[in-house]
Amino acid sequence: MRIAHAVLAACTLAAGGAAPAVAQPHVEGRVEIAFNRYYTYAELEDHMKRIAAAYPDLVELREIGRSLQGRSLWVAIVNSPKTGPHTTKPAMWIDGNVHGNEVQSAEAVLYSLWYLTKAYGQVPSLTDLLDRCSFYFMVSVNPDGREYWFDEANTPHSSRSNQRPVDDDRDGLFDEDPPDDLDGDGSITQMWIRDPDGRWERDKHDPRVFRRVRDDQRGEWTLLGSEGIDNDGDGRINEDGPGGDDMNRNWPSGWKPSYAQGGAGEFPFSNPETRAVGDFIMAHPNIAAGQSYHNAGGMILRGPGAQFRENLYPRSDARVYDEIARIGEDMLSYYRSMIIWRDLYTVHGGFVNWLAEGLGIISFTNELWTNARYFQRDISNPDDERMWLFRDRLQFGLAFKDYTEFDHPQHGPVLVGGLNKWSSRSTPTFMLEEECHRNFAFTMFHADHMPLLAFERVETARAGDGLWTVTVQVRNDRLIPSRTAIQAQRRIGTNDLLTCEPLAGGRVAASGSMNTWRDTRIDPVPFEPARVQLPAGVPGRGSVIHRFYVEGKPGETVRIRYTGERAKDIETTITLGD
Amino acid sequence: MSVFLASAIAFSLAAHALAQDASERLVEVSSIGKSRSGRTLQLLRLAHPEPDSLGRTPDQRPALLIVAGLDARHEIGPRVARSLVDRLVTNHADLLRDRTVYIIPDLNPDNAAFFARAGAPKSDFGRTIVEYDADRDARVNEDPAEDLNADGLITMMRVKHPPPATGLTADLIPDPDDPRIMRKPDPAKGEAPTHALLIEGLDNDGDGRFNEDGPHGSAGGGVDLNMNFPALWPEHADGAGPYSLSEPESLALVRWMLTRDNIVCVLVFGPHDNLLNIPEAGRNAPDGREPLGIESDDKPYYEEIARLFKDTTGMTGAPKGPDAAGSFHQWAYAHFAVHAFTTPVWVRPDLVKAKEAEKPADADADAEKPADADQPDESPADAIRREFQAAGAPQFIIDFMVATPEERAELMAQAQDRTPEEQRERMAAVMALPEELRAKVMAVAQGQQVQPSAPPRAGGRQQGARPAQGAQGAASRARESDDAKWLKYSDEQRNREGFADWQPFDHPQLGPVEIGGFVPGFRANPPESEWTRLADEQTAFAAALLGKLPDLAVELHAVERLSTGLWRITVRGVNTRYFPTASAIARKARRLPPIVLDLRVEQDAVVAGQRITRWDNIDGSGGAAYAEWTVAAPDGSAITLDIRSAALGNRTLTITLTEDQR
Repeated sequence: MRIAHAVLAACTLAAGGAAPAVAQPHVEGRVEIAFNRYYTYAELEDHMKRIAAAYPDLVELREIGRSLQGRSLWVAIVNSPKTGPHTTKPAMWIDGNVHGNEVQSAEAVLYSLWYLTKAYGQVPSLTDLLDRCSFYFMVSVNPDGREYWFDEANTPHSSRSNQRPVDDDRDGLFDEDPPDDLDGDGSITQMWIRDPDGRWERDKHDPRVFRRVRDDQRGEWTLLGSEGIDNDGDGRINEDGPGGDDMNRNWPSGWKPSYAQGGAGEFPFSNPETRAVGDFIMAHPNIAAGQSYHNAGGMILRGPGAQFRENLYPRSDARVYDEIARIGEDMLSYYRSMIIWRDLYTVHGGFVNWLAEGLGIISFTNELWTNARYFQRDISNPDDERMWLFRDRLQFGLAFKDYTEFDHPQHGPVLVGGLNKWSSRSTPTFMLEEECHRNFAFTMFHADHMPLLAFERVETARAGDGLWTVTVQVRNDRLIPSRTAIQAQRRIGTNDLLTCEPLAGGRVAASGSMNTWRDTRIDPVPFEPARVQLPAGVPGRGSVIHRFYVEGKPGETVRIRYTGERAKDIETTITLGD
Repeated sequence: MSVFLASAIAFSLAAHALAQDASERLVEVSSIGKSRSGRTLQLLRLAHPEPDSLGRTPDQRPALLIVAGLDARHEIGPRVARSLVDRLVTNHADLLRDRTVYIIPDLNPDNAAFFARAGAPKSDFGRTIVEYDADRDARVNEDPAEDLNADGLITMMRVKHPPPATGLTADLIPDPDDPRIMRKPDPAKGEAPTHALLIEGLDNDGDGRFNEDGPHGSAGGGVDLNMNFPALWPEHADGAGPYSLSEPESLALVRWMLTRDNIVCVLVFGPHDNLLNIPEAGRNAPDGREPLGIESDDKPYYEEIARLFKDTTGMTGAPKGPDAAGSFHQWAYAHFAVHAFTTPVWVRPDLVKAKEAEKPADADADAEKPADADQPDESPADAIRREFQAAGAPQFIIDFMVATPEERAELMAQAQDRTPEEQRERMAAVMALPEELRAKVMAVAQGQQVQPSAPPRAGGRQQGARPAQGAQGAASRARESDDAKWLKYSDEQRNREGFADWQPFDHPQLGPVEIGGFVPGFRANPPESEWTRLADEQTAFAAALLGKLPDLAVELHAVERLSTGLWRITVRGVNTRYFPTASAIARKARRLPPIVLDLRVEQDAVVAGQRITRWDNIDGSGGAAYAEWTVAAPDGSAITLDIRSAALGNRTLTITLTEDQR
């Protein structure tokens, strides 16, 4: 009996029909993935392939290129084919991990792919969303940087860049003096040296703690810096490590060379990763929303990256950003909505800046994890003492490497140890799933506000002998306009089109827009009255009204069609008559 | 046949064979990539193929890159670029022993092929040929221009009193002085607009706009390669492309150049001029770093090269051309970070002042000087001599100040050989000068030109800043529009071939119109009779430029034994040519590392000095830099010094630690 029930349920799911009400808010899926841990890129690839195999109707896993080191760059195209190909629907681009060390951003994308696919057919609101929209998920834009972070010794902050060799210290040699994992713990930690002139002492009760002495006291230790030796014998330590391009500065909008913007790369799209993403996005003009996950800081960031580009955010677009981000602040506890140049720092050639300013796509960058979440009270930046409580009692000491003696070739005996690469920026594993879920939910909210067009009202009336009016109101029931204001201002993408086609071959004599349904006069379009271009599309939570004057006989059919790159096309017919 | 004639023929044949052989040996033809339609983007490399005295292959020697054909309307560019090949190889082969010239004669071959097809009208369209929905109406290339009157040219249409239904607005009038010219009316003279001006063609898609989307000489469509480079890229502008380097041609050029760190100077033949219109120096874009023009410290070099250009070509004026934002030369300067020059090669003859013609202009300027000016007949050199003598400056300073740039370079080279005491003495003499004169010496030492001091003129106007006003003729000429000058040139010197006279035409959509205007390409390209002269001029300029590329000589200056097993080593680098080893923009952009001296000893063996020493720049004209190390090493042992320079070639010095090495 129980088996029969399960089979029945499975059949219902497979048929894609309305799922039976679920007794508890747990959504069963065909793929199990734990989100209380981190995955290497190879493991992420494996999960994506399992999901694609489990939901073949919904997921197309496409290799869009290869990284510099030859890793596959995957985009998971998620779409419900029964409502049309993915290119015919507004789509949201969601990526992560363009900075190799910002690891949980990939898990957040994987979670989104995982949850959305399993929710389809089971969770009505997400089913409805996926019937209307498509999604492009890219778990990691920088798999080389991610693998380097996992495989090699790093700090929480290192391995941000790609792996293109750059001569950081300008000696004509490339990557010849990286940090060195002297104590073999998989992290780059700190080096301390005994020094009678030092300004630090070791805590008598807790030798993990170095404390700065008062001015009138004598210290014993000096911090030498991060773990490493002088590999190239130039008298400096760790001055030319691997990699160099910050791939979040390699996008064409407002791009600046590396002397004006560190890490910019040689030219926009100079990296195989950014070029592959750029080509994919430009080949998909249906993308109407974007999210690019980073860490850390608990921010919902939007452009511009530089003050002098504020003019690329017309007021009506800025309002859309603010409305989405304000609700995001409520959904994402301890996150704040911010503007990149004003509230963070100036960025030239950033990814969301390209999406927003180059392509006119409403886009955010969420900075995952914030220190405020350690204690989840009103402590936004816990002091060191509190942090030891967290590290010892909640992380069981796993984010710290005890100090050990090391005989350093340049410095002699030193102590090596300290906080390891997991000690900050990445979400503590036991809190990861919640972080992923809240951000996933925020992007689904963002996606839900991609343009959704419908004919609100279509009416015909006699206007003369054999002349009829056909009046059409097209409504956008969501926040994001079908063409953003910057698209209209800067002539980005293709104009929306409203066409009127008398199927019996009659002529459209004139047409024009109206402000309200009760207007008696039109603002005429001077040319092509049957093919009306709308550079500004249909505004968010608003409508356009247009009246056509059609020659024909009563009973003849007229087809009205609205097409736009970032909304699903709509079409209706009306029969001429009173 | 006389013996003389026979031998003359034999000689010329031999000479020809020799030249043929030379060009085969010195010219390597390859490509930097393909155009959008798959045409080869040709690269010609001019260099002696065998390694030079430093062991450098052609791609390791300081190189000049010449690029043409970015804007396909500029047909003379590719033509002259190609004709440089034989001329440089034949007449300047000696320069190609330790230097290289790269020539990319045509970066936009698709455009030339597009307009070369049978029946294609000549058109003012220099962009790439690419599917592009210029008017965003979901139809691609649907409204190109048409040669309505079948004269083989896309020119203009003028529509008198266009009816409102056309959607056109009259905003111009035919100039009463020459009704061929269309200009803005002057309401102060009671003029009201009568005509609308359009590109020749139909409104193919019926959207009320004419020729707004198509590659046939239309107002929209295609990508202007000179708007497609990342420096100050004019994002969203018509012709800039969807992103910078969106075109295979611009991308191929950039990618290839980034593999050629030995390119130290760029010369572009195209519509822009920055040789006679020196870019603004010292101002940055809003990001605060990227220059809008050039760096202040590069300006003296631009000024000197401008003089060189005037001397070699006789060209004294040129239109500045389109905005430099997104242009190739702006990228070559601001991002690739080398001195980059651009010239239209040919300008309207009234902009080329003959040498003799310049004299009277100077005489006018002199005559204009106020009566109280100091000794108006005195030459600048004399004035400087007098000024410095009056201040009691020693003779060596005066000699230095009045020297020609070449003589000065020689003097500066000599100065390097003086003892430190002598150098200090001379520096002290300079420092003892009055501040104003001292500044002049410093400026000259940095390669700038200085003027003798003179009381400020009435109104503070600088000498030569503007043409003399007052003479009726000059004033009326100054008011002449550019169009009028072109027409005058066409009428008087080109047999009226530059302008298709307005002809009535019955336009199917607009009714009666007139079709006419400047012949496409006329204002950018010279008549065939000028080709040889222009090729000779640009060859002379390119050769002169080539002579100024920086080069580096590194020599062991001193090896001194301080004690047993303790040695002081001094190495000297000299830049033997004019340009600095690193321009100001190179030092700012840091695209390439500086000159690196890597002393191959254990770090512990270096008692004083930096094992890795960097020379950020060595000024030209004999500028020198020193590096000094004290090392602990056994007497008689040998030390290797690796010298790395991405632009000027790597090399190695072996230093033997024995007494009295110089």
